[in-house]
Amino acid sequence: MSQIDLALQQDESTSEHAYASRSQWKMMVSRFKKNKRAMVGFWMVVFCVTVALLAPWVAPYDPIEQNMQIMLEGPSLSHPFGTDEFGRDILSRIIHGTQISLMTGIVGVLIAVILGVALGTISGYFGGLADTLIMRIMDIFMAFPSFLLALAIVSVLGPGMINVMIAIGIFSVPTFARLSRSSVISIKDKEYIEAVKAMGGSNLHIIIKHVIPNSIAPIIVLSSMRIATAIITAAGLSFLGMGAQPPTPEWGAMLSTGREYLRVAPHVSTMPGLAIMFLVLGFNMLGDGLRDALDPKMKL
Amino acid sequence: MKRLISLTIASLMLLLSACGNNASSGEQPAAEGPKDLVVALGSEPISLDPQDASDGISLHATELIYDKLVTFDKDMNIIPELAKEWSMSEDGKSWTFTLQEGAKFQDGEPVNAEAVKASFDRILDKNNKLKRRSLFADFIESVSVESEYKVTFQLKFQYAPLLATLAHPNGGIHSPKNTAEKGKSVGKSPVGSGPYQFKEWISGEKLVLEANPNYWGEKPKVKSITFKPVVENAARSLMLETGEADVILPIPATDIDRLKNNDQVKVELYPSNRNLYMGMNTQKAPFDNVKVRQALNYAVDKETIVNKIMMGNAKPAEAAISGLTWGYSPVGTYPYDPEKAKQLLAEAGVKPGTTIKLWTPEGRYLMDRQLSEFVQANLQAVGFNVEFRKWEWGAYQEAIDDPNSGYDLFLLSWAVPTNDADWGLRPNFSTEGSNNRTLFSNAELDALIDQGMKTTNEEERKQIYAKALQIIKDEAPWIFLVEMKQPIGVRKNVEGVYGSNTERLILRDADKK
Amino acid sequence: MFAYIVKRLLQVIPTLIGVSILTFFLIHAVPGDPARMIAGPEASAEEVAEVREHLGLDQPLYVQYGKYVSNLLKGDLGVSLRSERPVLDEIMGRFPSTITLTVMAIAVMVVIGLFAGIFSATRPNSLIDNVTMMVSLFGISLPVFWLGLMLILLFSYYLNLLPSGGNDGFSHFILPALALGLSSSAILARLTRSSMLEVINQDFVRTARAKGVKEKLVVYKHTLKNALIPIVTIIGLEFGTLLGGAVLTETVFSINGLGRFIIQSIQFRDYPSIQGSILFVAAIFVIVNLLVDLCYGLVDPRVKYE
Repeated sequence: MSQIDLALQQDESTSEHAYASRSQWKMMVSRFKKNKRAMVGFWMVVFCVTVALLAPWVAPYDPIEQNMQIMLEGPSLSHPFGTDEFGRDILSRIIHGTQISLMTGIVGVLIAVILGVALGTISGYFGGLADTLIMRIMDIFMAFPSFLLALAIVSVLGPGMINVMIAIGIFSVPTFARLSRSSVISIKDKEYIEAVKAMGGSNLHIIIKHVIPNSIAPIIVLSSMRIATAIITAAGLSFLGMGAQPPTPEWGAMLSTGREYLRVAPHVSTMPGLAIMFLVLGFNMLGDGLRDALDPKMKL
Repeated sequence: MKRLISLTIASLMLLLSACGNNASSGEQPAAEGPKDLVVALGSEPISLDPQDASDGISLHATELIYDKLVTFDKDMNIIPELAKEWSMSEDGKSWTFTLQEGAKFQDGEPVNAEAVKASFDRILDKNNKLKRRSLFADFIESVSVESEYKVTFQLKFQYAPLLATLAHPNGGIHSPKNTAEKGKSVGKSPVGSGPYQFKEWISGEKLVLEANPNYWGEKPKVKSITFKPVVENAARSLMLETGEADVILPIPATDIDRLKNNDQVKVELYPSNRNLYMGMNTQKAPFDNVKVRQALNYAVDKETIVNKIMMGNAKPAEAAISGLTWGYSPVGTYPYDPEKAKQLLAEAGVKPGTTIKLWTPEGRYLMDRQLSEFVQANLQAVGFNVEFRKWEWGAYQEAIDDPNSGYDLFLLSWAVPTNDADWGLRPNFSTEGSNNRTLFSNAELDALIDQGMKTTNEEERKQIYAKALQIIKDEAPWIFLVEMKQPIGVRKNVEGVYGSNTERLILRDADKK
Repeated sequence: MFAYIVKRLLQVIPTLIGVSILTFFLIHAVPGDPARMIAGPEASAEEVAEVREHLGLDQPLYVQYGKYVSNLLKGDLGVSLRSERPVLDEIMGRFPSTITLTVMAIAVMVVIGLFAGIFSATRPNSLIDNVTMMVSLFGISLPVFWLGLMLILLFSYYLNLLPSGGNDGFSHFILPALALGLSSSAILARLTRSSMLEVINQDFVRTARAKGVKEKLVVYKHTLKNALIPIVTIIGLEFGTLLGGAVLTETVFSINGLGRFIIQSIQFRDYPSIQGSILFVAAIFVIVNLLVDLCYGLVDPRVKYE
């Protein structure tokens, strides 16, 4: 989870590159394309998104229909990932689970981006009391170990995937707020902004038309990494029984129920774990690659 | 009736003398090094106050801390414990018990008629709000002291299962000094007169009971008994295999075969009078309609539950109580017939896609969560949309205590600790029943249950209960599921541990070689 | 130096106040009547009223908060609904297991992470470097609870080497610490590598090398010392991740620690316990980060406390 925080430490340097002209974008894309690891990550994510979108058509079986005659069977030709304790096809469940994990990760991070960028921009652009107030509150959120904060939020909201998304969104807000604040600060005193101001542009106009578009690149990088964190966190919450409830084919929940059969049928929890790792690895590699393309100096 | 009593007493005398022999030969220096018997259970006790505990796990422990007036032997005969003999008045409404002399509570107080009276007065007092009050209060009028060691129970009516009820773990006798000092919190610092006494309880980790050196009866054989809550089935099995635990309960169905092949371990399947059921909130639509309740029963595939989920370690329930319970008569299982279920639901006007909430504990009963998920799928198959929620046992108990907390269906079970139909039906199905979580109310059934309680003729009682069981089946406040068996695993070097028909884990005679 | 410490300590206070406000509102955000919740479902109307009065729930929020804080300062975190014991006692009974686990995980992280990082940094862009960095990417992407299960499968079930659960001794903590620490060690490896690479190319290292100091000595003495700061930083940051991860690890390995307590409390809707433990963990986290900040001066004399 913390690579993000580390990235943030260096955000001062990132934001200098944030104001990127069209040619700079082109350079970034070509740098990204040359980065093998990034491309692998990119295709892994594309693969997962495709699987998620086509889930009902590519999954060989119904993910929730039970067939007790074939319970806990190991991998075979007809069930490549084996079956679970209700004879459900694990491959089909994992395929459908891709939808849930991607959805949770993306929606959760989207919530964080919207709130975080709004707060960070206000904070950075206006400064003063608003800045102090917002950033103090963000500090307080960051004083909680992030997984615990998510857990506490879910404990108040109650179990369920929607609440997990909200929890993930909330605990990611401070990182986005900080990042966009520092981007905004580095941009707002630039000459052209001054020029727009002099021409009588309103604050709102300046923020929406000039400040946000120019601070968006690092946000994209952070989002990609943050989605990885969000997916793992959501799976962890479901693993603890706070997320998806049966028979939803959520990876963390599948892994959790498979624990009981770890001895007799290890594939039941091994397979969903590998799926989580695949998707998270994809987003991490993509994030790494994006960051390198954005700022080659920023090496982790 | 009198003959029955004298017969029992005669057989008891025989047993007692056998026990006595054991006791004298077992007088060897008990200290052969510290021996701790570790018992891994699926959950931890809720309360160590036998009068306030209604869950089986708590009662496994209270059975060691407390003595009762009488108890069950391995074959479910009633044998003396603190009472060495008893007699009944002509009208059967007054029973006098003569106590064992010289027995002491673990705090040094004597066990005498005063103490017995104090203990029963405590549970009979409405203001104490003890969970098991109705077990006794429905038929006991008063308890009085005759002499130092003679105590008399005055009953409201002649009550056939009196001795069985006193043998229930909830009949454990408290030290009056302790209850006076601690009040409600005796559940956390219990004092009884049993062979093991309370040492420490670290919530979530362990409960330690140590041998009571001054026990009046046969001396305990191990130095201490530690109960550990291990929710994860697989972890429990592994602890038994590695010797980290000496006794585990329950063994997950999937592990039974493997453990049977382990030569360090013994696996026994004890019969149990526990029936597992899915209760419905019968006051809430659509479950206030008997057709819907029956439909749910037709919708669930009991055979597959038995064969695939329980892996043969259970059988479909043929009545609301188990075949081991006195007063049982099989009234039959609802066959698995999803078509019929759909038809009944259609007749009752339940639209496909109706959302209902199903709650289940996890780790309390053998394969509980799996079973509930299977039922969920069965109910989805006949058109319901079933929202599922699993709970940790302690929280679950609290949650289903309140019918307004939102459930429609809940998985629960009932083992009849008195082994008599009265306590199998009265708490669960009478309108005022202490465990009537389905809020089921049926005047005819109430009358039958009351009649059964007050009848002493065995044949008559059996017929009353046969009728009652039939009504319950037809009215279907439960989805009747399975009769359980209790798989208990012990290490090879452990002896004297067994599971009673009433599903008590009996550890009093446990020995670790 | 002294002034700096005082200043940092003073900065911690508003954070702690903020944390207490947040946990205070935690219980007020729960739908339903908090007094009812705290008194428990079986409580009578009088008992609920008693709780309401004791907690001052009928008073304005700021008064309630004042009461809450004054109780906190007295070490009163309330009473657990589940065990009816003081929450602080419940926490202190379990905290040793959690902190043992966390510290052992930090040891795992530092040992593995440092070695892997140095190993990579001294052979930049070699095959070994690439493989190590790839492995560390996998490490970062591993869910800790899954890794824990796989370790149990391998070391407890198949090899029968280590216990799969419980907290009865050192051996019980080995697998959990590995599971918890490995993914953090991957992060540390990446960080160590990059900060060492930065230093290796700096003038004073080149000078040292030119002066004929042995290669190894150069690596360890100069570069490592200069790379210590980010390492200390990451220990501070990862501490929070580890504390959070401990919740999952304790569940996987059946360790009766604070994390499992939080889970049980959530399942039991034991709000005083949830509130108390989360506050406690956050306070520990804040204090550890303070210590980390103060440590900068010890590892790097160039840092000036202003």
